[in-house]
Amino acid sequence: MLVAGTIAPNVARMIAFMGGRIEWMPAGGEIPTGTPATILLAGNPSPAGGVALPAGALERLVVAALERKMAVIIDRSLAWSTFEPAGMPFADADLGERVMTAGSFSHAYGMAGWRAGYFTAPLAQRARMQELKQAMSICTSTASQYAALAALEGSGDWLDARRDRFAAVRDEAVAALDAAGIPAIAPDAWPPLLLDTRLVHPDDRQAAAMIGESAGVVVEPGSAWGPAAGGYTRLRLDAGADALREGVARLAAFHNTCG
Amino acid sequence: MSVNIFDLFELAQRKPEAISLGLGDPDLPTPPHIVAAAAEAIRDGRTGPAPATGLPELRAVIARKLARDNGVEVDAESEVLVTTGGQEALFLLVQALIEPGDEIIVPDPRYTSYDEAIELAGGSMVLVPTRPEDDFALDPDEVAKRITPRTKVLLLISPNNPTAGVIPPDWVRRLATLAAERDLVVIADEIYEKFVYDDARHLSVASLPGMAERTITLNGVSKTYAMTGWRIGYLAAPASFIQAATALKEMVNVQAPTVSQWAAAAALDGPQECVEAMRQTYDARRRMMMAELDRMGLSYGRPRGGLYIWANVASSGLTATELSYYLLAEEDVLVLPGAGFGDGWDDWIRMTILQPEDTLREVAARMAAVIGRHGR
Repeated sequence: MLVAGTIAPNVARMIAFMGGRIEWMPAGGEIPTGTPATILLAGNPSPAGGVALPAGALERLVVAALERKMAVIIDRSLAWSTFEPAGMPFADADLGERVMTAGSFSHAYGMAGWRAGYFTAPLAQRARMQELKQAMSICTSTASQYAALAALEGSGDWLDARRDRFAAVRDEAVAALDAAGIPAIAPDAWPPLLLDTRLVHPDDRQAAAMIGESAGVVVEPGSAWGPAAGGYTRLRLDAGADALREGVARLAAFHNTCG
Repeated sequence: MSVNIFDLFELAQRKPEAISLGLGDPDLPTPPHIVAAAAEAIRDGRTGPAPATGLPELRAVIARKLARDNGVEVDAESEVLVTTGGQEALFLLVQALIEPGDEIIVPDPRYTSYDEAIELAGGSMVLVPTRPEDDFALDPDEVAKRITPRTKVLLLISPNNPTAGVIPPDWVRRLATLAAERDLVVIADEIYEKFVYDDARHLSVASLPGMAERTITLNGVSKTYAMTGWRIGYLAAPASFIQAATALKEMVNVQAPTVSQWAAAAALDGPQECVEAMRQTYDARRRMMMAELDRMGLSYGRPRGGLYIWANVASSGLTATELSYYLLAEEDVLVLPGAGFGDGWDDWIRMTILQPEDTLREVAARMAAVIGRHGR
């Protein structure tokens, strides 16, 4: 499986468990010549840092993969929580019919505990998907499905207002980090944010451990999401406004001690 | 007329209005105190993420239930895993336990959802036929004959789906002895444990001396409390196994839905009179349906537990698939032919008892009409 960008660590473990092998796409976004991968997996926005691909980049990548007869999976778990919703991911609407898409309500609607997500796939794959779902859990909780339906059919104003609140928190955190001289990649989607912690330690696992021990702030090593996030640590913005302010203040204080 | 099971399934999709004696979803409503507990959890905002192993409150309730009802002592912290329904419990335990080449002893006929999980894990099923003369209980002697050096797991499903057989306690003890002697892991699928009839008695194999450390008990609230749509099951097993299964669960779907977990806690820890009331309802339906089958001259394995009747239609001169097809096509009644539960069972049909008595009586009348028209 060729992974463009990053994937959640549990997804990487699942691919390995299923006997698959991950090939990370090199920087530059081109599918390597001669890749043995038969599947392209691309997260947009990226699961590690919530960063969206530039307009048209995903589409070009998907077209290139389909030309190589690769199956394509787009992870859109953060799509509903994108600050500036981009609408349809592809200018060519037919492209959407040829790819598999995974989506989630968890982050945008605060529904992580409800465990409802969705998967779209070309019709030819439907039977196999249903077999697997049947074998794994039969169905998603009915109450959760009704909740998800209400989320999608409810007022768009509610989600817009929520996105505005998310954006305000992000902007405040990014500004505070910037003022403290801590480099960060401002996300396009809620809730992750990547901190450049290479000056703390070039190994992001070590950096995360040091920040946890010395600053008392839990961050995750970016490389757990793939080499594209290596050298960065991942801060979640959904800890609550006060906790986040305190966390950023501690990071700033720790950063000062690092010189 | 030549029909196969795929013709039937295709037809079933076009007849959603048919009376269904197909799926094992209880028709009775989830008891109100359970629904109220879920509503309260939502109102209180107790809907956020839970640990992958399950809410600590629910795990504690499950441990209490196992001690109270089954005589099985487990540590709630380390020996219980809450799953997204019994099916996920089954899937996780097979994936965590079975390695390529392992053999798993499975009673036949069988609930074929096990097949996909076992195949995915690279294991191979060794089928042990169960027989009407034993009321479809799993015979320890038949099991013993099929154990090889590659056998790793013995699957016990009692009460059974589809046969409604219940393994009598003395056979459970013999199977436990066999498992201990041959160093087998036992999977005890006890999802229908509360629905036993006549003089049948359910015995949890994990309660027997020395068996807890080699038994994985699979259960859930779907059938017992009419909660299939809530998707809560659980596994009780030694800590090392729970740890392995939890690692898989984190990959598969992170956790069971939180609201459903609160509902399940209310179910298992709340008043249990509702369960006995449901059992009596099912028992009355079962008796009525057996009488109807007797009138039609069809034989059946005496249903001693569960929510199904496994009936032999050979005397009609039709195969089960033919009868099922005609029933659906002409009389809008869905039953499942035995071919869906393993090879060599196409004289048998599985019918649920999950419709009101009047409906079941109507089903019997329509079945008799089909046999009258097409029987040979």
